[in-house]
Amino acid sequence: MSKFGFDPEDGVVEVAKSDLANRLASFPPSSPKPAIDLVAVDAAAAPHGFISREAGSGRKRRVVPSEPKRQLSVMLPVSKYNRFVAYADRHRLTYEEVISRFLDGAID
Amino acid sequence: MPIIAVSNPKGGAGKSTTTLLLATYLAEQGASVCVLDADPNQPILDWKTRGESKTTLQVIGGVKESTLIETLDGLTHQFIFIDLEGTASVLVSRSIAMADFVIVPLQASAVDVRQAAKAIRAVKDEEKVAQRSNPNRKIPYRVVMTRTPAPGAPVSSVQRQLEVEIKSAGISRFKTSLAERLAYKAIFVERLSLPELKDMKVGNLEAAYQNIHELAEELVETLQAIGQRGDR
Repeated sequence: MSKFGFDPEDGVVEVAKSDLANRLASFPPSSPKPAIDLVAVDAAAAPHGFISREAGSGRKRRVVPSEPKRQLSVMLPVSKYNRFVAYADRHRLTYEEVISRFLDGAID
Repeated sequence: MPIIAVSNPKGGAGKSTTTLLLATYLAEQGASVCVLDADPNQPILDWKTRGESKTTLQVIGGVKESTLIETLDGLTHQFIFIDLEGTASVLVSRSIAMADFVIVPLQASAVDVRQAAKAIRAVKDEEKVAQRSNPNRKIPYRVVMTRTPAPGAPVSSVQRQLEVEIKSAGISRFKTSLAERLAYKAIFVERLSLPELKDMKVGNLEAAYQNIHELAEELVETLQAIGQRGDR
């Protein structure tokens, strides 16, 4: 036996290990979770001082549009609205960029 | 399956040590385990990439508030630990919101305890937010005392007082504490797992190993109970 007792023949540790190993086998692999409302999550934590610590990209230079723009206002169910905002937040996209991305990926 | 966030906004509470000890222990027992190193100092990523441990543990570094959810969605491990930064940030609160279980390590000091209370309040508030869309959603947590005196050594009055306060406040706590052990420092110095330190002089390695075995047992027991209750 080694001075630290890690000999494979050490019954006490090995018995405990095999028992734990069997219990660990009952845990399935992780899978994607339902989307969460990041706006609400961040709002709940803010009063306790949980604020963004990541450096922003700084003030962006104003982009001059290459073509005229029109306003689009859409009423959505709250769940769809939350999904949309969470997606934009997760991918760091503006709403316009999200719509462009979806349109580009859509099959006509 | 469980995502385990290890959080205390106070630095030096023992988050990375607790994470690495539990994660390497579970991996050694045959579980597939991943650590998201969300600490800006990247101590566990450093341990993995610059060390020579033979552990199967996977470590992913550079996790940010904007990439956390995508990173989690891409993982298929049995156990995912998030080692969080020692500050209150959006990354921490989002990790708590995504977690199935939160471990709050704390030392017996007033500063640690006050910061831990902040983490616990955040857990409870995030739980309320999550319950708006899923009334059954719970984010269970437990405090684990770290750097406690080894069994048999005198316990400070501050620690005794803290233990009484934790109990009277109804805060869930691991029965097992992580004792102050040379071996727990040595894993970061040598960049090896506990069993891989066996040929080095690092104090009472057997006692250190037994200590983490007991904590891991308690963690697995707790996670199984959570799974059976359907908190996730």
